[in-house]
Amino acid sequence: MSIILQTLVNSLITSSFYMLIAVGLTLVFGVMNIANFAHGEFYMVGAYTVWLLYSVGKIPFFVSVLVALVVVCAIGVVAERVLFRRVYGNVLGGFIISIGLVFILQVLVGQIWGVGMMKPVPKVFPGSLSVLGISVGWQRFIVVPCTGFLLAVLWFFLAKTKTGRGLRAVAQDREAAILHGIDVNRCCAVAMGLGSAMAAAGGALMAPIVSVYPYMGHSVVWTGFVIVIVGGAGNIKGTILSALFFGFLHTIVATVLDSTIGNLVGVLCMLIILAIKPEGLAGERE
Amino acid sequence: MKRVLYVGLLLLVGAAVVFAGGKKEAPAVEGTAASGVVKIGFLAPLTGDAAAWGLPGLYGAQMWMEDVNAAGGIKAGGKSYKVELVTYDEENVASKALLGAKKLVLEDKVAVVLMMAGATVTACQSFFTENKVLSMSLAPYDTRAEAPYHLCAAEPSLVYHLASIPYIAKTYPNVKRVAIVAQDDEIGRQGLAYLRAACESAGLQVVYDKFYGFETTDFAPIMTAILNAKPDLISFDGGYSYYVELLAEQAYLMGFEGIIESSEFFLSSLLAKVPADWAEGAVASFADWDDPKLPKYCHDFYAEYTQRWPGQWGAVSWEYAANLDIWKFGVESADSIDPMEVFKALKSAETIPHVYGEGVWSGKEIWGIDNFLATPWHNTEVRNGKHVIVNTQPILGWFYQPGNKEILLKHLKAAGVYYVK
Repeated sequence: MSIILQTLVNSLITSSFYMLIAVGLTLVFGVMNIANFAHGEFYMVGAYTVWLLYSVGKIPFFVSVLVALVVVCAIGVVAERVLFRRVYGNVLGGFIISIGLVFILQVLVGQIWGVGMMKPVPKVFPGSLSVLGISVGWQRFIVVPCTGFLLAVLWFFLAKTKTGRGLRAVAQDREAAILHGIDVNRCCAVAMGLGSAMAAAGGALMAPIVSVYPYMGHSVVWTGFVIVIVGGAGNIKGTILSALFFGFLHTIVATVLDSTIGNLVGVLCMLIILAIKPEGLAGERE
Repeated sequence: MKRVLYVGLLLLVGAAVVFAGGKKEAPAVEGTAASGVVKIGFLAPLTGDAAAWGLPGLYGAQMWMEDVNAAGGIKAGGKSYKVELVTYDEENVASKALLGAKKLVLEDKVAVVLMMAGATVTACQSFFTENKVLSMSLAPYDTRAEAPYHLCAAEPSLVYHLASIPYIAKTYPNVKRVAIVAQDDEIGRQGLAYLRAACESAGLQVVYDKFYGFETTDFAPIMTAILNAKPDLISFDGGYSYYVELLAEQAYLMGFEGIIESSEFFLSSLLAKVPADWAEGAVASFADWDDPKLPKYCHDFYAEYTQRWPGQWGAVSWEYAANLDIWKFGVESADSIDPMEVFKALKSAETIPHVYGEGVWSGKEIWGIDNFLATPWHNTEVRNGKHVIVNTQPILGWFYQPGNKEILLKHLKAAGVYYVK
């Protein structure tokens, strides 16, 4: 019984982490129509910021997380203004630019802080929550409420503010949004900033759990893309649903069989879902 | 006229093939030595997952080089040579290792190539053999008949599990159930075979033995499955320190109270993840070199190393330097820096001085060639945040006990890592 409960809790934590990464990615794709492969590097910069401020600079953890969000949000906005704005409507161009950004950020971080040994970030919440025969580290568990909080803030922003409604309008129909006087460039900058900040939140919160190094974004961004594609690219509700699905699927398969098969099953499921419903779980057929 | 051109072209191509690919001889190490410098190739992971098995070793090799040069260099053939390290970061990627090997041998003309272990070494061996390059790595399973000039002299990588499991079985008789988990690569698979063999011989039951992929970031599901098998001992096999730390952290957080075992624990990183009292008693195979059981040379090396590179001490900190000590012994015995002369001198020596005692070339019954230097080796336990020596034995002592050879070969074959043809 306890293994089932433990697996469910593990799945929930994994899903929360997937949501943090994938929601930002899908937001950028929805508004800007860009497959941003540098999203994993934004996650990495978020983790590095926490390592630098919290681990080295002894600044309180949540202050470090907040700074990480702001720093990476700023990097995202600058990237949008300087790089991505030039290639709107050109998916391939956007893809190439994001790949360039991947290398730039990796090399920059490697040059500044070295690429040798991984950067250790001590736990902020030591110990574990033990209840009903299961045990979960507090540091992992904290990802769940933090994700809930950040998604709630994002929902409020998108549903209740004028800029948020503008973002949704651009995602739905860019030309119609322009005709209604919405500043599309501004919406794109906001989407990129928010998406990048979500990635940074993932990296910053996970920094004490994973090891921090310049290439840590690779596996994360691939998982993020699988989730976004299955959820329906640009669809936040679908992405959340997809993150839940893959979080549970991967954790259950990794527990019952092994983690390598977990990854294989995940990609296999993506192919099957896309074969049946090419627009993704919550996407609409054009 | 056209026919003449074709024939001429064919001759040119033929000549190019003969001169470029057909002629195989040792690269001209002596050419660089004319300047009074002998170059050593350091081809190991300095970045990425396996950096903990390369970078700390590079620091040790640098210390060795400085000491040798300060003492006047290496003397051979009536000359004195300064030593120069040429490094190449292979990132634990086989293709990059081969690229680095070619660069070090053909461009830099190094006299010996030092490597880590596993797939990166295998990738370079044909090139080394064809070009008669002396190479040394840290794993006995890198030695094989098809790579006659490759030596494993400093560390019995993974073979020490054959000593640590019997030590645990004898010291902790309540240990009956063992879980083994490792990354899915040559090192993990080799280690699993040694661990299974040692467990079978000691009468321990293996209740979990699986691999995880390099892309794994979340170890909670894996540890959930491990703990569900109710092990008394979890072995992290030859896990990279990055994975071992995350797995150990999960084991701690999920309430595991048994014994943990691994090739090594990179303690400065591990103790940032788990409390020191939980890690107490963890069994590994590498001593900290300020251990009272070790000679003064080790203490001096450790003191200088930890002062110059705080927090970087690990299993390999001294090992590349130990290989260089053995290479230097070969140079002095051969009175030459020529790689093949050094190789012959090393192989013809009755015993080789190793920092843990006299070593003898062994291994033919396991790897098909006697290119592994069998020496005494230690079991260690973590005590008060340090690796402390708790037992010492000949590293192949377990293998020569009745019945154990058959058990080991059976598990190596079952794991698909028995390469003797």
